[in-house]
Amino acid sequence: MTSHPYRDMPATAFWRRSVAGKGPAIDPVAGAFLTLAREDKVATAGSCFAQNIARHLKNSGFDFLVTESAHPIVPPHVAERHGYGLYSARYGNIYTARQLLQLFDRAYGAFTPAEDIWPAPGGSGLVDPFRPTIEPGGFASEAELRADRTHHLSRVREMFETLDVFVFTLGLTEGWVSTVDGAVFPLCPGVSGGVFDAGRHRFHNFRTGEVVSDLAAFIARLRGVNPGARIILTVSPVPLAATASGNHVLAATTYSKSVLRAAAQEIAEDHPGVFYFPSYEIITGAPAGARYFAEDLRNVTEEGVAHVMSVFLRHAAGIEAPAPATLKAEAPDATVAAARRWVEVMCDEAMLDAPDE
Amino acid sequence: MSRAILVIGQSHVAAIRAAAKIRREADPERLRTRVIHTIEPQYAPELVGDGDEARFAPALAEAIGDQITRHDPLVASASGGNVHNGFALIRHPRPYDFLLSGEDGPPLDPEAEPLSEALVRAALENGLARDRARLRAIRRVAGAAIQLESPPPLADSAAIAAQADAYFKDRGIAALGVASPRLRYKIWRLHSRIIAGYCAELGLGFLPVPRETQDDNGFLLPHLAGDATHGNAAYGEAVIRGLEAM
Repeated sequence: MTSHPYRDMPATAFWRRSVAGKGPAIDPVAGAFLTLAREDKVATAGSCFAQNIARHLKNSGFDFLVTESAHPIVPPHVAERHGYGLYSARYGNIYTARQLLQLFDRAYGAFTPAEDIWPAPGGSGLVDPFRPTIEPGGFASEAELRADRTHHLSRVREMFETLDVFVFTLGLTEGWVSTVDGAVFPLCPGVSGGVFDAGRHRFHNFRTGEVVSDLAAFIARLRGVNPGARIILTVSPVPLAATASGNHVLAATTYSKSVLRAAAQEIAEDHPGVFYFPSYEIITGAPAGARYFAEDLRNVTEEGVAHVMSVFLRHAAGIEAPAPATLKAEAPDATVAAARRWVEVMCDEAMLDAPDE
Repeated sequence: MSRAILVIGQSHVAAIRAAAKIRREADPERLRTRVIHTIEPQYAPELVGDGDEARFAPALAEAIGDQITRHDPLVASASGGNVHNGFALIRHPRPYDFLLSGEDGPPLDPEAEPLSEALVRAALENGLARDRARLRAIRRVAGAAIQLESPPPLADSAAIAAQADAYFKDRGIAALGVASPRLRYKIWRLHSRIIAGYCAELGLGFLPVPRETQDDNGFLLPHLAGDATHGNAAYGEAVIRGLEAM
């Protein structure tokens, strides 16, 4: 028998052995992965899918780091509506790597965007352009907004400086950028506050090199204030709600996710202590057959999230959570649809396709 | 005004009752101001039902109806008016502050966690469910009525600490300290705005505290305080005069 490198490869290297016939409950993690201890403080950020990771970590008894919690006088349902508890601090969804980098720089005073206050939708109140949905109805005054932002950024600094593990879910490559200073907004101006101005706002679709560069810069800065920080990168499986690229939204989604996936791989390969976790593959891969998407083929079901987190906890913490049931071949669509429950997450990107008021 | 007055409420009716007693003793022929304290034992359980369906218990509704039938009074409500004290009399272990919208209120305490007014409003409203139910119940029983703004807070924190009643002492006011006067004032103002909003929704009037009971910064004048959170007979007299002037 001829010897060649594939002879000694593990089963995970072969589609037939590790994917074919395995059903949706596959485990696509191979090789070394981060080890998570119960006492490790885990912080999360990213696109809306990252909210699921935060929720499951909390529920699994891990030390989910929250440096910006709601004040105890605030009723829980109100706190949730105001963006508390979704992530480690109240920054809302961070869709692009550039946004993450700029959050760090804003927190440490290295970047002060020129456009830093927006009128709220409807004209009453003010919105923070960098977390436009965290204060429903808007802030009552500029002084209130600025005081809240100062507090928020102090909590962000505390998070960066005290976390042990940072889980960042890459969501988008498409973004809206200030032509004045390059500030990246999580939502297009005018969608949830602000006024779109073609002279001051331009569309940008980040390329792989830019995402890699932004992530590398972020890691360097994070390690500058927290040398021991370990990082897990994931790519959100949630397709784009809308694209401004001129491409079909499906093709735009493929581009965006491909760039993010490639960038995550390069970063994980080049930076010690940075790991890639394949939640994207678990949800969107052929084995799942769209099973983990809700009827809109965009939102991820609780079943899918549970599978992602069971794989995550198995490899990060050695915990065997119950895996989702294997899909029966004869299962009719109606059965699948009935079993799917949408995961309630704050996905403000969906506002891009909101009907006109 | 040539009408008797009926004031319905809880702890804040004490100032009105004391003022009315002094008036009655001075001039027995004067039109009377009467009060109904809704949580006195004979009216228990005060409210029956939940939420929008909450109503005064039959004994209480009957007592109010009887007063209205017999005296055709101007009906006022001193209902509630304590939730703001629950929030801002004792210094919170996690100090917070907020800015009042629409007026030049006190600035933020730099040592406190800034909250948006919307969050503080939500917190207050969460605590105001019973007071709101009382207002609905009054509207049902009395028709048109006037809600009295609750007395402003005292500016003097030491006086509050010394006069705080058992409720606040049990909650550790001695150990935690008294909240800052600025927060007390802002919480009271926001509380009043919320109550005024409820009244507007329900078709009830809202009578602000008599200006002469406040100092230049809006706090209750010390000589009008009955204790840390209530007015005294002189305060009650000022309120009655305010009602008579309507």
